[in-house]
Amino acid sequence: VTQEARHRRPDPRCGAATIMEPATRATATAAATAAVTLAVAIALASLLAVGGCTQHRVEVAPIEVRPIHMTLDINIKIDRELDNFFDFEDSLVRNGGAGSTPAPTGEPGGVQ
Amino acid sequence: MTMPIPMRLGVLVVVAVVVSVLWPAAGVAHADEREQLRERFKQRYPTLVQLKRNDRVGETYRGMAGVVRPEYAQQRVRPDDEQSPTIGSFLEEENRDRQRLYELLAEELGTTADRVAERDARRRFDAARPDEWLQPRNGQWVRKRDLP
Repeated sequence: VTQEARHRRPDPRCGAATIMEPATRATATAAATAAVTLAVAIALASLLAVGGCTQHRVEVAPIEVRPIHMTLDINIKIDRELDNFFDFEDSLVRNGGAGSTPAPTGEPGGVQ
Repeated sequence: MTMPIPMRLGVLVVVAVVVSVLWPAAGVAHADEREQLRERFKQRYPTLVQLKRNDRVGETYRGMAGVVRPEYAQQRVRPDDEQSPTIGSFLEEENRDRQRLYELLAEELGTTADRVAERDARRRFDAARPDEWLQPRNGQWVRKRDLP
């Protein structure tokens, strides 16, 4: 075994890189670069995805609020119309007009 | 088959005139009907209150008045007057007018008669005295003070 050949023989105590040929070393570097690029691309895609979700929620919020306002609005209008229409009730009760007509007496289900 | 343009314009003008005449007329008719309903409610109100105070009648969650027990429907509104209407027929008249009022208000406000009835039931429940009878959605008659 020549001195050159002995130098190239893999040493079991060391990693393969210690004796890597220049061509193999270039391939490994290219693979590492590709892995880093892929990781950066995934991170960017995740950031974009998260950003998209947040924007979507902001758009939905007003749609949920509007029907509640409309329902409250119509209920207020109905209540006001009913109060105006039956405004005689309070005055009749206050003036004692509601008690002028005799009617059946007794507890529900009781003997008349 | 196609109408000449002057004739189309004529038809449009006639339709517009008819609508402009009938639309306010319908409003006036509704106003008159509302006033008649109000007057009848007003006349019945003292008797209705008395029937409620005597535990014969209560208010339901549907915006209608009802007898607290079915047998009360046959009793007279005024027990000493055989000519007076039965409680059942008195309530029938009251509820018919309430239904008509709910329809008129619903048409005017662009909603449903059921919604108006539900709001009126809420108003009547709020105004009821603690010893008055009310019928919530479960169908059971209870005094207001015993409502959960």
